[in-house]
Amino acid sequence: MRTTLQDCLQQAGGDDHVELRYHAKSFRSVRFENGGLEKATTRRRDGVGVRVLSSGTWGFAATDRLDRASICEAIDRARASAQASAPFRTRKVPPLPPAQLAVGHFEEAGVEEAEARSFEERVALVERLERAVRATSSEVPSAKAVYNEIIENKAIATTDGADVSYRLVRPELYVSAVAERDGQRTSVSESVGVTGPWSCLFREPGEVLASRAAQTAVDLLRAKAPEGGRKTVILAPSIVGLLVHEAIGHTVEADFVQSGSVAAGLMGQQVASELVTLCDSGRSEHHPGAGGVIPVDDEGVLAGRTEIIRQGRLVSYLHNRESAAHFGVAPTGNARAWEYADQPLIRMRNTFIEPGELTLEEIIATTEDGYLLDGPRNGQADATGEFMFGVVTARRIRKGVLGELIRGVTVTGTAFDVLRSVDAVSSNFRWDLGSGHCGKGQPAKVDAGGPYIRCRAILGGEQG
Amino acid sequence: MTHPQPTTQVPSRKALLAICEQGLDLATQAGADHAEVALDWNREQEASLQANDLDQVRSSDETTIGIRVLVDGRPGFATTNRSDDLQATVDAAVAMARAAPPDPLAVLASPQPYEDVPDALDDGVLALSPADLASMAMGELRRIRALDPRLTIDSGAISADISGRALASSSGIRAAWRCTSASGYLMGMAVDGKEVGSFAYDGDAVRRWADLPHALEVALQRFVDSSIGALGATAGRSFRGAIVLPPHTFAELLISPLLGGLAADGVRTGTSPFKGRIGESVAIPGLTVSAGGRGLAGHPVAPFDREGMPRVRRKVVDQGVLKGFFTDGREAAAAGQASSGDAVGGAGSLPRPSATAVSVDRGTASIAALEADGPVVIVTRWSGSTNPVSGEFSGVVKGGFLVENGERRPIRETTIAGNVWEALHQISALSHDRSTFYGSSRYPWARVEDVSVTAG
Repeated sequence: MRTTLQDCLQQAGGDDHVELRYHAKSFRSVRFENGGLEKATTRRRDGVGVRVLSSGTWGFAATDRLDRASICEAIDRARASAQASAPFRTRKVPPLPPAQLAVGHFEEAGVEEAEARSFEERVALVERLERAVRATSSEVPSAKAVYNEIIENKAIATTDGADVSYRLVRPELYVSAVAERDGQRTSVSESVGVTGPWSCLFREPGEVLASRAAQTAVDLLRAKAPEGGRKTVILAPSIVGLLVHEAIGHTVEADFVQSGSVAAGLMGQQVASELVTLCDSGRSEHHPGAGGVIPVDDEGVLAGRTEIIRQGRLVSYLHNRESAAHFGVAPTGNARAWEYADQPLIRMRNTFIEPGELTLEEIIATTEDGYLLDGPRNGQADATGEFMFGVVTARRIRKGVLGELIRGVTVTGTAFDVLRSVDAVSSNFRWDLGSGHCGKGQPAKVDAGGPYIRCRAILGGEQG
Repeated sequence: MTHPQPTTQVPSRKALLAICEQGLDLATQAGADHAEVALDWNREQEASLQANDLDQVRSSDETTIGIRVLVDGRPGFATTNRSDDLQATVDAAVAMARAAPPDPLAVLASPQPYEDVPDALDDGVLALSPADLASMAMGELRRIRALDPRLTIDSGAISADISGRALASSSGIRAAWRCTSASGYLMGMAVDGKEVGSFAYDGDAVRRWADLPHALEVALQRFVDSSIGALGATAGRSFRGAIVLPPHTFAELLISPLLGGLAADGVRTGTSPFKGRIGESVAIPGLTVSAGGRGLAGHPVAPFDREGMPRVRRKVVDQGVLKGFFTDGREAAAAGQASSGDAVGGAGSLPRPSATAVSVDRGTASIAALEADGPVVIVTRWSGSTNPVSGEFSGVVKGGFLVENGERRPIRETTIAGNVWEALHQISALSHDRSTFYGSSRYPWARVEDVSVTAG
C-alpha cells in the first residue's frame, strides 16, 4: 500500500501539503453470558483518509476504494473542500515546519498470533472465564465474559517525506459479575486491554480476574456508602490513570489550550507537587503491553515520550503539527484518527506518573485518616480543570491501618489542586486503563497508569 | 428563494436492495440455510470548528454491509465496508456459523407488513456544497460570540448526512428507506479574565436544511445561558434534599437507566431489575414514557426496525406502571412472543433491543415552581456514573446552581448521590414545558426529593 500512496502523491502535483492514510481495521468480538454464547461478530473496515492543506486551510475526504484513481479523486475532493472553505477561515494555517517523520515499517508483537487464532479458541476463552465468575460464589447468579480484538494495518504518506506502515493488535478482556442477596444487587467488572500478544494480556491469569470480579461484587453487598467530603485518598494505579488522563491529559491537549483551557498561560509554572513527573508516550514505558501504543501518529510523526509535568512544573502540551507550529515547538506525535474516515485530532496515547520511592505499605502506614481507592469506572474532564471519575471500591484507612470496604464513589476536584496535594508516590508501576476507549468526538484506544499516590480530593457520598 | 437544485445522486431503493440480494445469493451458495443482509449507504459532509475558527470541511462516502447467517441453527455475523468484498464477508460469516454452538434463539423473522412511507429526502441537503457548510458554521460561531465576548468555542460542527438503509432476508423481508438530516452543535465555555467556566454543549438535528437555523437558534441559546450562567461559581453546601433536573439531565440521570433496564436482553440475562415486574409501579403515577414508532413529529424515521419489523409506538411506562419491554427477534423468541419492532443497530452491528423516539409526558408545574422551596440544586449538566444493576448513581454537578432564600448562585465542586430506582419514586413534580433533542427525544424538567448533595 505504501507504493500506491506514493504514486498518488506524485500524481497529486501542486504545492499543497497532502497527507494520505490507509487504515485497515478488523474487529472481532465474542460475548459469553450465563452459560451461552450471546454474540459473536467479525467486522472489517478499511479505506484511505486524505487531508490537503491548501490556501491555508485543511480539507478532508475519505474513500473506501483502494485503487489509485479513487484515492486521487479523494485528493481532489479534499483540495476542493479546502479551497472552497478558505475564505471563511480567519487564521490561516502556515506551512508546516519540518518534523521527525517516519520512514519504514513497524511491526508490533502479536499480530501473526492473533491472525492465526481460531474462533473456537476465542469462544473457549470466554466460556471458561464466564464459568469461573459464577463458580466463585453462589451469590453470583449472572456473569458475562467478553473478548475483543482489534488488528490495525496502517500506511501513511505525506508530500514532505513520511513514508511508513505499521501493524499492531489490541486484545481486550472484560468480565463482570452480578451479585445478589436478600433482594439487594450490585455488579462489578474487571477488564484488561493491551497492545501485543496474549502473553501481555494475561499478565495475571484470566481466572484471577474472573474470581476477583465475583468476590468484589459479593463483598460490596455488605459494604456501606462512603461519607462525602474532602478526604485524604490513596489512588491505585488504575485511578492514577484516570486522574492523569481526565484531569490533566485533556487539559494540556493543545487544541483545547488554544480554546482557553485552564492550562493556558501556565507553561513553566509549578502546577503540581515536586514529587510528580507526568508523561504521555507512544511507547509502553516501564512495562510492556500498554493499550495505547503507536509507533507513529496519523500525521507520520514518530511517537515518542513527552514529559508534560517535570517535578511539578508544566513543561509541554500535547501537539499535532499545526499546534506545534503555533506554539513554536516540535510536534509530539499526538495526532490520531479512529478509523480511515475520521480526521486526526490531538489525542493522548499512554499517560502516566513516574514511579517514586515508597512502598504502598509505607504510604498506608503514614495515613492517619483516609481511603484507598481502586477499580476505575468512567471519567470526564471540564474546562474549569474540574474532573470526575467513578471508583468501584474504597477501603477505609484509620491510623495507618486498612479497614472496611466501602461502596463505589465519585471522586472530584480541581486537577492542579489535587496534583499539588500529592505527598507520597510509590515505587510500583502498572498500566491499568487499556480497556474501553477515550471519547473526544471520536474514540481512541489509550492507556494510563502509574504508581500509588496519596493526595486530597472530594468524595461524593451520602448526607444525613 | 429559489428551490435548491440537488447535486448529490442518491442510490435508489432498488439499487440498495440489489446489493443485499447479491449477498443473499452468495450466502446460500456458501452453505447458509438462512441469511439476512443489511446495508447502510451514507454520504456525509461536515464543516468543523476549533478554537473559535473554522477547522476544516470533511466529506466521506461509505457503504456498510452486515451479513447474518444460520447454518444448522448456528449463527455467524460478519461485516464489511467494501461492496466488492461480499464473497469474503459471506465466507467469514459462514465459517463462524460452522464453528459456533447451536443457538435456539437465533431466528430470522418472517415478513410483517408495515406502512410504506415516502423517503425523507430534502433537496436543500442534497444541494449543499463545502462552502455552504463552512459559511453556516462560521455564521453561527460569529453570531454566538457576538452575544457575549466572554464565550469561547472549543469545537463545533455543521453536518449534512444523506443515508439509505436496505434489508433483505431469506425469509422474504425486503425493506428500504432513504433520508437526509442536517445538524449542528457547539461545545465551549465562558472565560472572564482568569476565570474559566464549566463546559457547555448543545445542538440539534433536523430533516430539512431550511429548518436548521431556527433549531440552532433555540439550542444554542441554551448553550449561551449554560456557559454564562456557570461564571462566578463558588462552593455549594452539603445537604440532603431536592434537585432540579433540566430536560437533558433528567434524561441522562433517570430516564436512560430506566429505558436501559427495559431492554429484554438484560431482563433475560438477569442484569435488569425489572424481570417479572410488568404491571407493577416503577415510578411516580405522573410519569408516562412512550417510545418506538415512526419518530417524533417533524423527524420521521424508517417505518421498519433493524430486522425489518414494523415500528410501533407505545407506552412502556404508563402513569408509573411498567407496561412492557423492548424486544428484537432474538428476545422475542426467548419470550415466545412477536418482536416489538425495537431492534436497533447499524448494518455493521448485530441487532439489539433498545428504545427509540422517546417522549415523557408533560407535567403541570412551571419551572419557577420547581425551583421554589429551597435549598435546591439545579443540575444543569451531570458528569457521573450509574450502576445499571444496583441503580446507584454518583456524580458531579456541572454548571449548576444552588437556589435558597430567593437567591440563585452558580456552584462548583458539588456532587450528588442516590439510587435511580428509588429516585423514580421521589419525583415530586414535572414541568409543563418540554424540550426536544436532536429530533429523537422529548423531556420535561423534573424535581427529585431526598438526594444527597455534597459540597467540596
